[in-house]
Amino acid sequence: IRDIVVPALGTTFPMESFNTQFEKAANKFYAESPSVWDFSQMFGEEDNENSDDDSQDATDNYISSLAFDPQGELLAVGYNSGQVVVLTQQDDWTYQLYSEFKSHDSEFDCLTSTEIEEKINMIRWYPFQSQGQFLMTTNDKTIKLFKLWNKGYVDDTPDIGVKQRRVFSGAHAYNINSISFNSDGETFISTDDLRINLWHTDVSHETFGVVDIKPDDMEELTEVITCSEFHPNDCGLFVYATSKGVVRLCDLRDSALCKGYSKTFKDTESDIGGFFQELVTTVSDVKWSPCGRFLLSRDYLTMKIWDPRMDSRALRTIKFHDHLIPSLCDLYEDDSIFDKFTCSWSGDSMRIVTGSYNGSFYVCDAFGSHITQMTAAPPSAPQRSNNILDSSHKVLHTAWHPSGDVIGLGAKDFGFLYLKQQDDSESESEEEEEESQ
Amino acid sequence: MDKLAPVALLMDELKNDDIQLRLNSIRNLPRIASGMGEERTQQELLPFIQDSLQDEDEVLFALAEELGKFTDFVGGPSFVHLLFPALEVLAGVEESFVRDKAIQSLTSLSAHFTDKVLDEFLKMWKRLATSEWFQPRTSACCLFHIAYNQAPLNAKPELLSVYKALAADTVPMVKRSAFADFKLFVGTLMKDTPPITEVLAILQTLSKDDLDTVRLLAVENAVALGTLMGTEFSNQHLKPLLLGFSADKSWRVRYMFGSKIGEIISILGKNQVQAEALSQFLRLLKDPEAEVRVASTSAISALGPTLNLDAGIAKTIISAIRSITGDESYHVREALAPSVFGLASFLGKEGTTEHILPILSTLLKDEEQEVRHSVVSHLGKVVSILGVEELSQHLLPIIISLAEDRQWRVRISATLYIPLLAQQLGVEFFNKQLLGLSHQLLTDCVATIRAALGKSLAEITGFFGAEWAQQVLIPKIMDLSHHNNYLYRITLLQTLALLVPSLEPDFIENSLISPIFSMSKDPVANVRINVCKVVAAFSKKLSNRSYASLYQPLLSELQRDSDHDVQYFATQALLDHP
Repeated sequence: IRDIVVPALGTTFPMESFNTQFEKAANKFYAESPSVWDFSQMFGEEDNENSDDDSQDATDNYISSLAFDPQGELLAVGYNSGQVVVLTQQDDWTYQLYSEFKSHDSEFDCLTSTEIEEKINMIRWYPFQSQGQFLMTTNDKTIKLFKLWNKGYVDDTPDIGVKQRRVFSGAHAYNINSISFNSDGETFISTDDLRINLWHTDVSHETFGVVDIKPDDMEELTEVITCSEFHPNDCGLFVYATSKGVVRLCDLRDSALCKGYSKTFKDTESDIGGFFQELVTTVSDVKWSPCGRFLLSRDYLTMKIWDPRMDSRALRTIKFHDHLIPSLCDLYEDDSIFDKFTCSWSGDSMRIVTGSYNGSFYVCDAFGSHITQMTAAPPSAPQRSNNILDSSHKVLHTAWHPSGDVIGLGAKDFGFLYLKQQDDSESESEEEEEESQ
Repeated sequence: MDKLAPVALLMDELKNDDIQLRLNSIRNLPRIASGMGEERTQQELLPFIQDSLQDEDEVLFALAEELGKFTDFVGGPSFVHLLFPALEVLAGVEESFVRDKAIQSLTSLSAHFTDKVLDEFLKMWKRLATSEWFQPRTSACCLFHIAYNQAPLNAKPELLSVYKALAADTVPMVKRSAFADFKLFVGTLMKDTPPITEVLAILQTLSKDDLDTVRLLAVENAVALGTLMGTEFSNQHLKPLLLGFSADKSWRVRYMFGSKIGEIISILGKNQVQAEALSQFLRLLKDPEAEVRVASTSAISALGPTLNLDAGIAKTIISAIRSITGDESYHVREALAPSVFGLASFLGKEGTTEHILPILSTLLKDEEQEVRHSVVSHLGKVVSILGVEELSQHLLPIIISLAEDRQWRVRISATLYIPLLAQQLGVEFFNKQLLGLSHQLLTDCVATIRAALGKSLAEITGFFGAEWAQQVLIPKIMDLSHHNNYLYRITLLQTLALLVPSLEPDFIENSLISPIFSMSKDPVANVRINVCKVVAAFSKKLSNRSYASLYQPLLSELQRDSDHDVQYFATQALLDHP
């Protein structure tokens, strides 16, 4: 029995009472340092520069993924157009352009006569620091590893080189929804609707299928995998979540290939029942807390915190979307009920953030006692009425800086950065910077 | 010759956009260096190389490789340290195959270090080991055993403490690399002088590491340490560690235990302890993870020596093995044959007949082809113990049933076994039992089988020799020359063509002439075509005179054949041998 160190708090909790102690500490932290967030930056472009190019879709500039690097210096933004933009943090906590490159091009799949979109489904940074920065991007079918490095200086600005180091393709019959690095620094998993593959970063011609939920008869298909993630510290554990609201924990040490799962987490207490139950129960994102002790799953109406040692029920269910329940019919009709919202933990594992409609986002403490709702918009923007549900204005993507209080948000073609107000210093001066690309 | 030319040329080429040109110029470095001479290589070429280390991985790889062979160009072993700056950078790049090559080059250079060079090497090693990036640190781990082995005695403690830090590194790849070098490091230690407490401490800590990829290295490392320090040490310090691995949560660690059981048993020595290790091993034969069962099954042959210790032990082992024939995974059953046959020499004839033979028979009837194949390919091990007669009694019915199976793919697998059996079991056996079968298969209705058998017969002729082919084989199959079905007449000719390289000229001259002659008058054109082809093959073995007198007239006759294709092939045959 080991005591558990919580670096963020600089304390150690004994294992048996970890949860209660941690919750108390998180509450206290929250109470002492209220969650007030200030708008810092906005980036995106409104006008399509190539408006005479008919083939370019208006949604091309939509943000499709966001990720801070583990060292906290960079922010990678992926777009529907296959572009990846990397921003770097300045001393004053604002972000500037660091590098930009086209990660994926659209391809035509001859076998199925469909186009493979170039949309970047997920970006992950390599967990260990090197002279260069490594990030992995994926579209529906192909995963790529890129290296960014400083080649030198040109007129005082750093010249950042981008090189594609590896391509991992041909391993997924269905669309890839997640990728995740292992804490061992050498392997990673990629997940599509029915399968999860384990790769070695140095080997692109071979992969191992570790999870396969495809039924022998496709007519019997009732459940698909929606997302997955490796444990931040334990190299044998990963979780995946499904469209049935189930989160499964798997251990690579159990067996070699196509294994079952070790634990299943499902909590039906907050179910609303009825026609929409099945649709709202699908998990859109699952994330381990940085301390590795908790799991966060986001479904349409709630966020659930899990303790992996307890599979009978969720530790906490945060119901912050109850106001949507009366409108589920409308949301179903305009397909918004299928929106996939992401969620993120703060670096100290004590707070979480997720997006919502009306351009708003929620920051709560890890146990959901304090929920703060904010709207992602520059201060100069006109106040939006929150009485009317605007489902076209959604903050689908979120990311939290690994060590600081910076939140990144992605809402269609605009990205926002919010900084937490420091109690001891004056509130941040609001900067509005529209970065054109 | 313009003294500036080589380096200037090289510089130009190395700036070229085309990576192929850059690669070629790197591959030319030896020539350039020898052209420049040692002094200029030291003072101009090497500095230039050191400044050109920003390039594509393939170029850097080539560079790392060439530098490893640069001793002579740089002035001999006492100047090798001049290569270190470049190799140090290459050992720290992000791409692993470049780093591996740099390490390889440094390793090969280390065979001839002078004192001064060693001094520089150790300084470089320390820089790599304490670098802020993890890639140079992993490279340092791979070079530790070299550094420690060659370092002067007073420098060793410091080196060891740096290594200890690497073995406790926060970055998992470094830790793993350090542990991987452990057994090479132990291999360089002398029994009476090693810093044993520290070494043992490293082993014990990393054997309990969270990462199972680190833990699995512990088995080999413990064995290495045990081999160095002897059985008493092993029993006292290593036994609990090793036995713990057989029950590890991670299948990979159990896999390593299973596959290394032979070595584990040998270092543990005492019978009592061996029995403990043994019982753990036998449990692994029934492990829930198939990979572990395969590894353990393959290691069974290493148990040979223990069989003689104790009848009880032998019995337990045998009964454990017997149940493997029913394992649900065919990979495990496939691994069983070669492994269990390895025990034959320890069991003796009686033991083998009693225990191994039933297993053999069961496996030969397995539904998976790979399993049957693995039995047949390893029969050699059992033959010397059991004797051919005994073996053939059991095998033959099975082989025959395979050869007569309705499915042609099953029949062809029998065809492929025939050379193996011939080789393992010898001429007598073949003549008695398999010759008739071969003849039967030569008239199989499926062409692939006939062709495969022809090839097999050629192979067998290679084992048994020309005389056997001429006296036994060919007379037996010659009756096909007047078979009703033209296809089998063709098969005969094609088989003969394959056998020709092994036959003696005399035989070709005397014994083959009349059947060939009669077949050249065959009513079916296809047969006559094949006659041309066979005769063309003959031409290579016969002297000009005999060929001219015997076969050329035949070909000339066929040149005037009614069928165009026959004419063509006859002409071709004549052209081949003017």
